[in-house]
Amino acid sequence: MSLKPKQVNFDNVWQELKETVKQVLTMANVPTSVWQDRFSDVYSLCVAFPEPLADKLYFETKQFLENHVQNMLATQVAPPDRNSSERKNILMNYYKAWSEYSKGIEYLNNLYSYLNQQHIKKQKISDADIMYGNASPDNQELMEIGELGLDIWRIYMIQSLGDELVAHTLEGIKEDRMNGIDSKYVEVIHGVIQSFVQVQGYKKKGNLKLYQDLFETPMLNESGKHYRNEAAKLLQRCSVSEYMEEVIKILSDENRRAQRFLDSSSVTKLRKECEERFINDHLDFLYSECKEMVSQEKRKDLRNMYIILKPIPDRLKDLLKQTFLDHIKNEGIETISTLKGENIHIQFVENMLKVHQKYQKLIADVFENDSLFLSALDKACASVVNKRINERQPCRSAELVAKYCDSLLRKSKTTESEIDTKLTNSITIFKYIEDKDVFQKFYSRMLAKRLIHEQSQSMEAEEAMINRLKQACGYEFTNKLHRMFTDISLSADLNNKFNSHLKDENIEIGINLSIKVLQAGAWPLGPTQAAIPFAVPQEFEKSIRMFENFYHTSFSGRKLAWLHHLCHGELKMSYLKKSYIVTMQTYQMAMLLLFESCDSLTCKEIQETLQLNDETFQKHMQSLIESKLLTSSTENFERDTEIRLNFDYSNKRTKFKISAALQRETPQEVEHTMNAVDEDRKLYLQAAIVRIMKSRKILRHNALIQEILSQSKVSFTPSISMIKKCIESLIDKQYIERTPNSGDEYSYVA
Amino acid sequence: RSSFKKPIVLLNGNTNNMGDIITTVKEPQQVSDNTLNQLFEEYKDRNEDAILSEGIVRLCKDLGYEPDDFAILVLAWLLDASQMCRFTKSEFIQGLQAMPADTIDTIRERLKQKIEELKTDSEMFKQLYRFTFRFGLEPDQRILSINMAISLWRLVFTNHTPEILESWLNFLSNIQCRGIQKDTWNMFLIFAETCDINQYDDTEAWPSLFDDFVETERLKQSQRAADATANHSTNKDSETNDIL
Repeated sequence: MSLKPKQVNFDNVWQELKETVKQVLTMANVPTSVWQDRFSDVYSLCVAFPEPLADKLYFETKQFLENHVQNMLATQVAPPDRNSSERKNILMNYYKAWSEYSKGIEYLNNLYSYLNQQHIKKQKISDADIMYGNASPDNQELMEIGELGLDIWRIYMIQSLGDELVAHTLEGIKEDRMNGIDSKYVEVIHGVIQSFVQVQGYKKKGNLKLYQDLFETPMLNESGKHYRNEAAKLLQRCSVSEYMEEVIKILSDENRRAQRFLDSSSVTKLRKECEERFINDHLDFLYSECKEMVSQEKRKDLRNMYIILKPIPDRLKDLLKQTFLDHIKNEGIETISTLKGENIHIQFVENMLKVHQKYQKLIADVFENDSLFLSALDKACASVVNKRINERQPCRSAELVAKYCDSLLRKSKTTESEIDTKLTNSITIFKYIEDKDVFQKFYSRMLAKRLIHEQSQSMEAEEAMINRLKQACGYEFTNKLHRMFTDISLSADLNNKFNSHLKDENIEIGINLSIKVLQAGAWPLGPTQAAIPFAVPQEFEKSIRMFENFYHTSFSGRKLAWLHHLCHGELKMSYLKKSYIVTMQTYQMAMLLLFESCDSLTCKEIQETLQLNDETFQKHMQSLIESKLLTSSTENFERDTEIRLNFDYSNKRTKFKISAALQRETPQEVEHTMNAVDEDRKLYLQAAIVRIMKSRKILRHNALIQEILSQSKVSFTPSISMIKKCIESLIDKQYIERTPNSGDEYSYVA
Repeated sequence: RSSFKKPIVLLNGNTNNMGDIITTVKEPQQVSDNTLNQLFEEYKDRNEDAILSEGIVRLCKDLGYEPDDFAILVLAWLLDASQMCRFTKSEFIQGLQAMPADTIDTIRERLKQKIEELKTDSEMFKQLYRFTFRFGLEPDQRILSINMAISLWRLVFTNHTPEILESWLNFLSNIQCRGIQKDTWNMFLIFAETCDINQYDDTEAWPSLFDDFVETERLKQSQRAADATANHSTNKDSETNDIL
């Protein structure tokens, strides 16, 4: 066979070609050799000499296809004289015809591939033309044979039969909704529907338009009507709980139905329609029992409610969320308002944790950990934790959580791992506290006591907790805590060095000394207590001097101040029948040491020797009398009251401790802490205002307030009135001023 | 809010007076330093080169005003006096030149004129108002004592008294307070002119003293309302008793 162009008799060739075309379209058997001959016939027509006959071939083929389809319509699919039972078969007939034709046309497209590629592609409008709108849609363009065939089908078959077909498919879907139909029929309906898509499938733009206009819109309308009716029927007989179950079932049925019948582009649309009619239209009904469901924690109903409402825009879920939030809040307030007794702090944290864990689990089980509900949980917990039980008093939560941590970190019989878990959990509650600075104040005071009096369960636990706080609030927040902690570990080192120094120099100081050097700025020890006058007993005088000398050789610039009220010591008593080792505070020890050389002294003598003030003397003498180590001649300590050493003292234990009156938390101390917090806050706010104004120069009142609120959020939430007072005092001090002519704008005074 | 409108009504009733004033005043273009010096010498303190209390009392008497009259505050403002009970020579002479006035009669007429202008010109009044705070300060102080503030507020608002002035002054005399800051003083003018107790928002830029004031006022209001309903209900009770 030659590829060279030659003269061809069109009519002869077309006669043969036409036969094969017909065979291909009707899916008859075409031998390979014939197929190949016809293939080259197409070629030779296209390249014919002297005139290429491609246009003629295209025209003839188009003519042929038009006749073929019209013929199919009239004979196979919808004969003009069909009776009503045949009418019913129209879907079946159409489907058969379409299956045959669509496949046939595909093959035909292959047969004509030379024409398609060489002749038509050249004249086709390029993609770019379509993109930039150069092509008018009516352009009499040539189509590839496959496309041409589909277009002819659309024109002759679908345009005349479309509405009838759609009516029947909708009928079929309806039937499926009522009673279900067999899979064969489903396949037919699906095929018919798909033909509306496929017939335009070659189009680059708007290829779903026919499907949507012809079928989808009426389908959605019909379905909407159906849903509305069904919803009305359900409302008649169902409770909310039953209704939700039904709806969930319907939703999943409809989803499956959509996938079986429809083009995939319609699935979400139908689902949306379904949600609108069953859920959105009846929100009031659904919500009518929302409160009971939440308050009785009907998990199954809540779960269903969530499933149903999930696809609905957020605004509509608000009521469920709000109800849920209020419910948690109520339970939380109830659980913390009934606290009583000694260990309120433990009850507070653990009860709050119980509430939190319970609802966290519920949200996981029922609401799929939806962030909307998690944030509702957070809000509810925060409002409970920061609620003031009494309007007049500040919220105690920060103090309670700090105490809780203290009780865990103190020496106790609880196991390490249990302590660890509890502390980790306490962070959950800690995070809800608004007044984090209050927590910090209390925590650091308690930490100081634990470290100084060596009451910590373990240093690892202390450090781990500080790190947790750091993680939650940042370095600034735990800075001082870290420094306190470091002081203690440095002090251990220092004591070792001091002892080896004494050994090297061969100095005997007569007592065992353990000293903690604390940085004044980091420890919340208060300046007032440090100033108690005290004459150090000669027994420790030397050691103190030695240590000061030793310390100053290493750190010459530093000043040491002795905090005797925080010290304690062990005293061995050998004047009794048994010997005892007693742990006591420095002042008590100083008093007892005076009896080293005599058996009785007057109060006056003791107080003057030690130069103690009345309050300190009374308190510590009282505890020594109570311990029975000393006896007093009168009930109250007058100046000439005689204090005697009790030689009849006996105790079952040979090692014990005289209880320290100082260590209990007094209400004054709490108040003191709160005042200190208040002062700190004012300083913080003023500094923040100056900083902000310095960088912004001019700022409106509200913007300034917002800025300050966002900056202080990490450690506390200041009241607006407090911010205003700080602004006023800065205006008064002329750091800032109001801008002229505006009452609510400030400017920075450089 | 309407504190500036009221005087206008007053003013309309007095238009005859106004006309008289304007026609009878001579308008000296330039006042001679000599005359002013003589006038100053007349009231000057024996020992100091300034007019002190005694001289001011005489000056007031000659002008026909009590020393605590609003007009004298206006005079102090026009002279830009830096302290109470004291006009320095330069204040006195420069002030009168600016007025301008060189006799007791012309000073009196100028004062009357200014007082009329102050009734309608709110910007001018604001200047007088702000001056009053500075005028009332003790030397080297930044805040005004409560008692002084109360008298000065009464004085400066002689001609258009804001509705809330009395309850405000009453409030001040009942609280413990360090004194009045300049900002509070200045803001009170705006507060008195524009603020409505019921619409007041304590998160706005008002000085916090106003917050406390408004809270007290609201408390009083609600108490009054509660008393009213209580009375009402007791009346009702007695009515029902009567019916029974």
